[in-house]
Amino acid sequence: MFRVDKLSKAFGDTTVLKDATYTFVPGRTVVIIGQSGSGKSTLLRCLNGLETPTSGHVYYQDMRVSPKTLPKVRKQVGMVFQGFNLFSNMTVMDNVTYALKVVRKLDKATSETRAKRTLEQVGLADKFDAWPQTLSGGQKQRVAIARCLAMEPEVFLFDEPTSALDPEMVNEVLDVMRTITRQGFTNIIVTHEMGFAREVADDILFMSQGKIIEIADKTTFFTQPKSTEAKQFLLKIL
Amino acid sequence: MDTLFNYQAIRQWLPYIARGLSITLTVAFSAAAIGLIVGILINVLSRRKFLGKLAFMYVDIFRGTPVILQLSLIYYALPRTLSLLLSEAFGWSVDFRLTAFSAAVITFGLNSSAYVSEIIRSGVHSVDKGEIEAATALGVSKFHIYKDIILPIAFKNAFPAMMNEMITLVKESSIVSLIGLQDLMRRQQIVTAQTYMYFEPLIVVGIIYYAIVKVLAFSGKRIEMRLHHVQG
Repeated sequence: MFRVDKLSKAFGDTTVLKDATYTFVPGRTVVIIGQSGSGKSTLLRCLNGLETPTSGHVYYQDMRVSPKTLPKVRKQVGMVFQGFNLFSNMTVMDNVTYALKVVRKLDKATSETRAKRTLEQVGLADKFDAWPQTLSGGQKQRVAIARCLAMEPEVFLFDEPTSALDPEMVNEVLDVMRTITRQGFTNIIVTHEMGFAREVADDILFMSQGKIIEIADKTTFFTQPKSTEAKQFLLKIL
Repeated sequence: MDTLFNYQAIRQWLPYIARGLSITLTVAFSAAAIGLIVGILINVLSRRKFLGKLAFMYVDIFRGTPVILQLSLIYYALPRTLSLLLSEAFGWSVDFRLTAFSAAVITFGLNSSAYVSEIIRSGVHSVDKGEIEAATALGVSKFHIYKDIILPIAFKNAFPAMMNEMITLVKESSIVSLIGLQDLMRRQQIVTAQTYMYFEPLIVVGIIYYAIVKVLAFSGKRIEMRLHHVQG
């Protein structure tokens, strides 16, 4: 599973991630929380190589994540983004089947069967032929989740999946995520939805100013936070 | 009325002038095809360091000099210079010759490719970075991302500008009359020389150019609407 070792990332003079070290446990759901700008998303994006760390390393199943190993890693890791990022030149169906065809090399029929199954799973059986631009935010995010699900990854990365949604659409996405967390994937979730974090997390990573400040199982974290930063953070949001 | 626009006199020349239409259109559309292919190529190459500099120079030179100069250079000067060069360097005696038609298509094709590459560049720039990231995260190769996501979206966004370039090509291609290619414009000059009429043949040719431009603009609008209608 993923392991990060003294991971740092700087953009120009600004260090956004400092010496992050952590080992993710297979099958568990880790929720990364912290204020905006605390380095949560950067940590997540280093895992699948969307950001290249300034120093330190990421390992996936004892394989160092590098340009060479990234294709292998990405096959096993699905990512859901804040901005949905559906392919705007493809229908819902094509959005889901595209990577199945060009990455997994599945034929058209197999890809479509699999896409239909996953789209049904996220409650979009009636939207196969719709264009992304005609969907609501919640529907778009569910397509994005189906797109990952169809690839049958081992790990799910969620990067603030509900932050860009209108409030009334947050729950439909959280519902889908809830079912995913029960299916045995390893989930790494960056979110500001504390209620949801409390519900689905096994472990909490609390970050502040680019550092992992606190690592705890969720009950401990929410009831007896150790660091002053975490205490202050929880006071503010709960 | 007859003194203002002598239809009787110009009528017999109409079929002759109209035959220039196919030359004008063949030059413009062949050049557009070359422009598109080379334009994409330049865009692909410009992502690499050394070739990027060359691509930049190519675009810079073609956009920075008049097309009439480029045409003269390619038609009159280049074949002779190449022959000389080969005979001086290798002792080969090759007699390069370009027909006026080839010279016209090559010149306008290369010239257009410089503009098309810029149009594609801005189209590529308009593609949402998030979509590229999503494809990257799914493990899609750079080649496939370019072919299946960036280019189609860039084309859709750049389509109006592309259509504009096509229209420019049709009008600018009138410069080929300079090297004797019998396009619409050249035929007007010939008719004028034969009949001493300026106004009538110019108006006839003008109407034909205007009609082509209108047809292109109209079809462009239709395609554009379809592109946006289908994809929201």
